Amino acid sequence: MIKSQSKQQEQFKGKVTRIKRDQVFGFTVKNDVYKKLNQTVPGPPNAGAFKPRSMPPTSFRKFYERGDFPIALEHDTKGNKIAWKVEIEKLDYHHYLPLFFDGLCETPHPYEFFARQGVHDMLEHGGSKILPVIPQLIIPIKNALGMRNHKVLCTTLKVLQHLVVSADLVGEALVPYYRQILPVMNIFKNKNLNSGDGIDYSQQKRENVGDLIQETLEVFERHGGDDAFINIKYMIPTYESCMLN
Amino acid sequence: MSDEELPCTSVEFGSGTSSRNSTVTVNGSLKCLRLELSLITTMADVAVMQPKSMMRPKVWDEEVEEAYRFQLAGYRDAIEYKQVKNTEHIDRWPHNGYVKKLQRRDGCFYYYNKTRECPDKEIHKTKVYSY
Repeated sequence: MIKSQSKQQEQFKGKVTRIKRDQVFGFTVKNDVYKKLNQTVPGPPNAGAFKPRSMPPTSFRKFYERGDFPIALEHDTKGNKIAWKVEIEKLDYHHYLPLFFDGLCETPHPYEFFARQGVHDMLEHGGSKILPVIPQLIIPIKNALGMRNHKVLCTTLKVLQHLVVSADLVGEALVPYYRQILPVMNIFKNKNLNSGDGIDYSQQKRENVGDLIQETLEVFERHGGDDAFINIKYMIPTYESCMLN
Repeated sequence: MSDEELPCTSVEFGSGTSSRNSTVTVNGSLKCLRLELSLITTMADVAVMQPKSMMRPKVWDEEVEEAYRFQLAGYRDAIEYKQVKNTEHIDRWPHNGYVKKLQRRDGCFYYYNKTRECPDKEIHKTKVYSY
């Protein structure tokens, strides 16, 4: 009697392990197997909306390694500056600005540093040369946001804030491209840390994605003209205006 | 009649040729000429001027920011920059007068932000020279 029971148990164990190995999830045809065994059906797998994606090496990396950028490589640099071999005012923005934006996808050093700082310098000193290049910047921005990498997201959002205020009419020029830029912001808009009454150090370091997205959207609205709010609202329904209320 | 009251229309330096560069026209009295000469000598002094003392600041102010930007580019201050680059022009932000662009000794360019760049941890490393 006992022997037969133990045999049944062994058979049962075998079945369970086989099911686990097959990775049967809820909402599939194989649910019946679980029902027959009186087992609870596990939920469906993660869709991976928040999962970081990888990117192949960018053209920024290729150009940097080939030495095409007019920036000096120095290992004894005092801090966070790029030494430009040519005056920024004389650079061809149609060529270089999209390339530097392309480098926002990079995470390893030194590509990440040169791309970030290069974009910063070019935006700071570009003036009226930035506006005509906006359409070429959209795909690199979209790629960078689409990586869903925490660090890349933070950098790209700060760059977007800088881009909007870098010159007149840039905010308005970005409105037609909200459809490409804003979906990822919609995903991460609520990504915030609930630390209770503890201190959230990411706020001080400006690394809190939820806060950065809110700031960015507000800058978009302020500088985007009359149509900005309704276009943001269309892509991000939970966004509330910072100017109308 | 004293020197100050002497009317003076033009004063010629050098060999007395009437070349445009060598003639200084002063309207009024010799006082103006003296002022101009003293200005020239001051500019000449600047070219070889060496600092008399140096202090390390404790708190940030615009003077520290100015010194920080020049020292990041490898110069003591604006006077040395003008002397080395042989120029009187320094690119500055129009709204606050902070240095905007400097050329290093090797010919590369450093670009600076509109706002404060000198972090708190760099204040005591900055040197403020006086002449």
